[in-house]
Amino acid sequence: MSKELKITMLGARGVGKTSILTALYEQFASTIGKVGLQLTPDDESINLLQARLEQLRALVDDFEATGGLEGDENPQAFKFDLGKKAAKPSLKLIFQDFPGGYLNQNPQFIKQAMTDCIAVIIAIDAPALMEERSRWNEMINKPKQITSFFQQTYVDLIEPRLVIFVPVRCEKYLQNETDAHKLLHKIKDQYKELLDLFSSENLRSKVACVVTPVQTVGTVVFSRIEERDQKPHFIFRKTSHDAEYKPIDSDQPLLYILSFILKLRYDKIWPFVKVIQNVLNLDNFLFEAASKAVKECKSTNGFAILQGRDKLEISK
Amino acid sequence: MEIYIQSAGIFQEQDYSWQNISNQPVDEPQLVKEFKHLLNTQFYSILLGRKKGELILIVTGMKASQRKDYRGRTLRNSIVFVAEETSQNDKIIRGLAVAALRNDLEHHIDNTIKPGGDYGFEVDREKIEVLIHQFDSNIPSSEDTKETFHKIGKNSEDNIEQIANELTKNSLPENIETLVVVTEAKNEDTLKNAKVWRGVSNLVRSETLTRYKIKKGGLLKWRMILSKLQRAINGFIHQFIP
Repeated sequence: MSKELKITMLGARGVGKTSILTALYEQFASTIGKVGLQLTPDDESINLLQARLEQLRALVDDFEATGGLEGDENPQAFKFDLGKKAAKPSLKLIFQDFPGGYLNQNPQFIKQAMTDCIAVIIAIDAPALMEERSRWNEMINKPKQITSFFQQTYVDLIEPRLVIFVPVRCEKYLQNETDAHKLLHKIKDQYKELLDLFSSENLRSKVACVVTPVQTVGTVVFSRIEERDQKPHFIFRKTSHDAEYKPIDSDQPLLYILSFILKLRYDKIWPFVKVIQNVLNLDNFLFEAASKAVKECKSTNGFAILQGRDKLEISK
Repeated sequence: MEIYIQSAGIFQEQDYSWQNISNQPVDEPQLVKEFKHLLNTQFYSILLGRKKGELILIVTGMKASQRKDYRGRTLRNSIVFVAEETSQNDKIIRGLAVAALRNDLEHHIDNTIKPGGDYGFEVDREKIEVLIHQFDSNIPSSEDTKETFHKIGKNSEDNIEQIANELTKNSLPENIETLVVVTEAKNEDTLKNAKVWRGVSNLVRSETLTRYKIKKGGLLKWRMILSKLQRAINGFIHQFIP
């Protein structure tokens, strides 16, 4: 049986958790295919992801778009096998997705997922973060509530963890270096309390933290906010009438997860930790191939390693 | 009969939640918790089952025609009917299940739910109560089900219509917990392990409804006897208390 590693999505309703997973599935296969690896969803996951992919592609049917992937009523685990092409998989990656409403309705489920998972992907709606001086950020992205979940679950951590901030719908904010810098600055500012927690004495040596913006559609950019009943409605438009679905950088979160796993193996400083033992026993081919793949990890133009560089890079 | 609706509202804080038809918030019904692993609830899915003398019909993934959330995403409705197992309720539940299988239920449910209330949606109790009896007249006096073989197949219109025909003509087979499952992407083993009487999923290899063998243990035998006894008692009580 292949080893399992769990990753959880984290974010409020409608911020883009499932879109990240769908775009990751779409793009990551080609990235790792170059180094002889393959990422294969299980039968159930592939059906569900394909259906979502069609929804994402349909977003570019209309020139002006408001929607996204339909929300979920129930948690869903998406399972992927990772390994050498045409060979038995070496590693199973399990991404735990859940309805955003669970932040309030079922916090225990989320805490358990965060406790069990080696990595957490925090989905951030970039327009809510960036527009109108972040006026809508607390309402939409709920950084205080997200911070509170970490305060409650990252207590006396033994195992190292990776936290990935993933701004989505960020096509508008990555047009040039200056804009990308502003995006990064906003994350540091709006999530300061959380970043302070990660850099505290107890977590500094255990938590690695990165920012990887993902353009989940690639050709749909933020247009404006329409305020109705004191609530924001975000309107997007296509970059051109014939623009097609073309996600950008959606492979980056998983590349960073691989980078984190690789470093754990090389460090071997956590010998008694169950999760890590899972990783240490993986086959050499996977590690060698992954070592090549993680060279594609980006760290400029909106991408950044905020903490724990020593837990991410395998060689200098 | 207990009826529960799951839907959501326009605002971000009004994510999917359950209400009864008096528009009171409720926890996820226990029988839903027990059966939902057989469904991909975001897709149009149907489950007909029984447990501890109660019948349950779950229909999920029904799209709301008008209501959308703050992202402009189409909202969905799910409905659950739970009824004590009597011959009368057997007919009502089968009528609703056949309507669900023939996709006649979705727009009716949609018409009973409108935006509003603390949780973003409100159910019209009167319309729902009318709906309950709207379909049982389509169910003629039924014969006992003779075919107790368990069958699964691809999620196709033909297979679903075949199941609808069986439910129309015959009463529900006894002693089977998971009676009907219509789901998007559950694999064969999941359906077989649940001992589904009639199940369709896109991950089943067989194009047509095909018989499979189930393992009967001693526990199942006792469960069958208890179930028969329970039905006899229910029937006896209903002779005196209509």
